[in-house]
Amino acid sequence: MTVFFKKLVVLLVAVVIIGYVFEWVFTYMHKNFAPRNKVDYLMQLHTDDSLDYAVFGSSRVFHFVDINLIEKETGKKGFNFGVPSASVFEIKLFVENAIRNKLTRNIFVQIDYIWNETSPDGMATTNWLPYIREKEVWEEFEYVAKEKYFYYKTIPYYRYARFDGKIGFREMLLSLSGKKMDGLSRRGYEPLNNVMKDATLTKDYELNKNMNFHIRDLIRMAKQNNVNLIFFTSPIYNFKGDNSVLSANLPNYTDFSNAIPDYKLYRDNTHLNKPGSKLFTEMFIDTYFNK
Amino acid sequence: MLFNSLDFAVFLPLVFVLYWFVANKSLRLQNLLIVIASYIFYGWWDWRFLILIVFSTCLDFIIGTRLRTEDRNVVRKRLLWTSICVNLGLLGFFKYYNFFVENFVEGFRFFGYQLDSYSLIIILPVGISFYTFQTLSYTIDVYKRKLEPTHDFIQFCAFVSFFPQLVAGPIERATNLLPQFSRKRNFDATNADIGLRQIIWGLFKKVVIADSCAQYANEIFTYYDTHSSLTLVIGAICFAFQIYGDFSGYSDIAIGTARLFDISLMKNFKYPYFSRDIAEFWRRWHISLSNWFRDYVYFPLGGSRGSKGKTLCNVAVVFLLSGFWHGANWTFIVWGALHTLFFLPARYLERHQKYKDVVAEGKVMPNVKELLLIVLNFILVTFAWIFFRAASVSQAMAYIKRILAFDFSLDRLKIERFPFEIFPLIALLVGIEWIYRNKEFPLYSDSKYQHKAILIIFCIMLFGSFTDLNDFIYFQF
Repeated sequence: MTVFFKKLVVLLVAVVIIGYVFEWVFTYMHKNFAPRNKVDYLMQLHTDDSLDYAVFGSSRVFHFVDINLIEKETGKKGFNFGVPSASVFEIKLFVENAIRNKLTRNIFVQIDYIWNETSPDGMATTNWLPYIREKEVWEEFEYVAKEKYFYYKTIPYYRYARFDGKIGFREMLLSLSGKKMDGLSRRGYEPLNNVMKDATLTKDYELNKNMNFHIRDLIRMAKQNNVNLIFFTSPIYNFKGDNSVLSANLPNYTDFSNAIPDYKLYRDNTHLNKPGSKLFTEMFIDTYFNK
Repeated sequence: MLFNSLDFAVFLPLVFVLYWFVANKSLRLQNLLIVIASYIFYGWWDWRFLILIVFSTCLDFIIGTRLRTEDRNVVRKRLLWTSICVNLGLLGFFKYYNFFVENFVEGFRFFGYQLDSYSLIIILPVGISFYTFQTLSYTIDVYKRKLEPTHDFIQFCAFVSFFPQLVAGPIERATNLLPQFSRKRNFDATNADIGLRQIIWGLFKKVVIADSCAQYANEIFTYYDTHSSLTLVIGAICFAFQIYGDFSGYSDIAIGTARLFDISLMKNFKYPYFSRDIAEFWRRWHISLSNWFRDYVYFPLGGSRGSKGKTLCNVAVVFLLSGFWHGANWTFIVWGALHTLFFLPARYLERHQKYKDVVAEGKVMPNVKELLLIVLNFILVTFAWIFFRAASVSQAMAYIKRILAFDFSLDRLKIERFPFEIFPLIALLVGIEWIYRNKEFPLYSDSKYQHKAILIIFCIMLFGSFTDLNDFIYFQF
């Protein structure tokens, strides 16, 4: 029995050592090698990379705001930090780190029905896991979902194994080979093809009356750091809801929800297609840059 | 409880410690612990499943006990058929009820009659096909007086429910497993050590090979109508390795776990993709099921004792039943039929026993003929896997039709990978298995096995897919 246990202990020690080594290597690579996602990209940016503006949000930013078009028409440098399925929690992490890194003085945040969300999304949260051991990042996780994310923080390498497809070995291999994330040349913007099929669709949602505490924190932080925080709602096809809660609570808020009525400019009722995003970007320029 | 879950990582050491440090005082305690642990393991999915397994266990124990004292042939036969009908009845209801109802209704509709369909929402109890076959083997062997029935109920419960092999085999014979529960087990460090390494090897096949291949196979089979021929071929190859890694990985973990408790389970896989013909493939793939069908279906049907035509007919019956055993879908029946077609020529020409040795034994590489035979056999097996994996026969046909379009462009998958990216992992498995093909499993035993085990752990941690704890495919059967 003793001999067996000795061998077992050797294997367990091997597991622990490999875990610690991988933990260190993977985290180091996320922080220092070619960025494979927008979180790595943001965390690697420094003050001297400063931008004229940055746009944050979900897929309704990712597929909507054409940064190169804005630069072409206004000469202003920016970046689209929209991440599909991001909730207010992930947007907060992005914006907080952008402010902390003094990335820009002008921050645009897209808010719509995600106003009601306070928890991490799961899918969009994954790319933040390499940074979960950083004090400021962990404080945010700890506040909203400590139990769920505690093991990812404490067990070495667990998060990389569990989310291998997004932050694991293959991504590290590509990062090591210098292959940066897709869409970097489009400055984070990704257009959608196709036209929505059903023009009779409508979209409605009800917003909580209470202020979202993540947004409240962001507004406070922006004020303290003298950053212009500008909120907006992207176009929605056939929108029948009411965004008055947003206009009452958010500073510098513009509601574009009913700005584009033509269904041919949508991929589905919450996502513009490529021509739609071009039109919306023009509106964005007129509203914020050509004043 | 999944073998690749944290639950099992806690459960197994706990049972191991209790087994060797608390229950080792008596045989009865050891068996009792096995039964309790097995029921917890099985009830982890859904405690209601336990009702079925307890019912089957009680029924076959009572019938076995009656068969011991009963000499009248008519009564003995009646007892045997009671066991067969009840066990297969339960299996038929839970697994095949909806299939038969739907096909019955469909059949009548074909002739112009409209019948109401009474399909039910039935949850298939995990592993029902496996333990049903295992308990049946007990009753049949007792009936044939090949086995002395046990009078110890706990022993019998342990035999039916032994957790390492309960839900996906190997399908054990009472003649092998039951006697092991009638002797007190003593800790054997060498055996336990081998078991531990077999678990590691099984995990490698499951989380590195099967679960990685699954990502590609699932993606390609789901969106097959948008992919090129080349991608679809790679999808089929991925599934071939997914199902092999998944099922043989499970078997290795099961056998290795059993070794930790000083129980020996039968081997279920012997490097099947190195087979040179279909007959050899079936001597190496899911051996416990093939043997079961051979002993309890093929031989009772007459085996090879009759005319050649009768023998071929018996072979076809076994393959079709084997296909149907896997699931209530025509795809499995077609899969069985394809294997019948592949196998019958060799059986007809009496060449089905040609390859019984280890391929290219003592050589580093196979010769050209051997290599061609292995590749040809793999192509046939993979072709049949398309039906096994597809959701319906029509989907399988459409999949094959697209392959035959010979479009060799390279697709990028929605999982943001190119299909060929999986090949280094497949090559790693094939390479390791080829080198160690004359051993029970690659980490079995040699002077550097400890280093190799650590290397495999390294691979598991680096390449393993833990994204979602993936079920083992064979649980659904």
